[in-house]
Amino acid sequence: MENLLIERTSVTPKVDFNPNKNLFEICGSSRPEDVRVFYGPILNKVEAFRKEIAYKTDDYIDNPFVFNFKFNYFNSSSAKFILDILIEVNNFHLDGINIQVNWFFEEGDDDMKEVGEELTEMLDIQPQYIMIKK
Amino acid sequence: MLFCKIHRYIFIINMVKEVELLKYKGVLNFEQIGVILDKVQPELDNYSSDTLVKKRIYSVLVEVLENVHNHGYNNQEYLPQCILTRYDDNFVIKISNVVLNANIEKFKNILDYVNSLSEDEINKSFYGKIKEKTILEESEAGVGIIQIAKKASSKLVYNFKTINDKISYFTLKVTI
Repeated sequence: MENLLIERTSVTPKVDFNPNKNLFEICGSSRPEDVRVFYGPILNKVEAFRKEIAYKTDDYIDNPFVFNFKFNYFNSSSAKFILDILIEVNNFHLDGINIQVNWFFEEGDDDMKEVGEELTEMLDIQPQYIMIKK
Repeated sequence: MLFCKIHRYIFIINMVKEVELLKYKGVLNFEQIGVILDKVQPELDNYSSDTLVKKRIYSVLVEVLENVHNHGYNNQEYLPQCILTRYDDNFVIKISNVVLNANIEKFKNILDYVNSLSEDEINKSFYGKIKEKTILEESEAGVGIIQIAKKASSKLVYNFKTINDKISYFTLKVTI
């Protein structure tokens, strides 16, 4: 599957979905003019990739597929779609694919840590909460 | 004489304590919201070193501005207005815009409901809404208001001032 690279703007995060590197990373601020238009294709791409690799779970035993969430801000409309991505991420695990989920937050930003803990609550694996020092 | 001096001194202290960081009056579209947020960011850096406070102010600003953009009623005579003021350690965001009288009851219900909740209940309500399988576009305003209440340090203060039988001027004050 081809990579998906969406450059960061002042209202949308950078998205780097790189199946060759076992990496999905979303990074920056999120308050798109239309959340459905921005997140819909990302969700579709991730879901399509999961279905494509569902029969080769052995490839990921030693090298988990890593999902990094590095938001410095997202609005309430984005929260629902970030949760949808996390639900899709959990489907990787349910399909037997070895994954690792990292939720980053800036030092002092307790709200971003809390929202990460709440949104990842439904995951069947334990995510890592990683503080980025100032 | 002494009283006058003391009075003046207190007045000066009060002047210093109150700083207006943003005052905008005009049309609010998506691009304009971006311009406002770009301007306010360095002001926040100047007036607070607390990451959490700065992010909460930014978050509330986004939600109130987007609420006006998405749910306000355009009227050239009564333009939206947004003011961010620092009082001591508190920051107050005051936003005003025109709304249709037909929508007032709906807005009041959302605001009164949010104001009736405790801090824990606000959190539960916010994450409950987010975790609903689908969010109707019309209920996104509710999620935004809950998000605002979640970041606020006190209850939301609002009022509706009737302009005519069709429209009113809505003002919301949020303290962080």
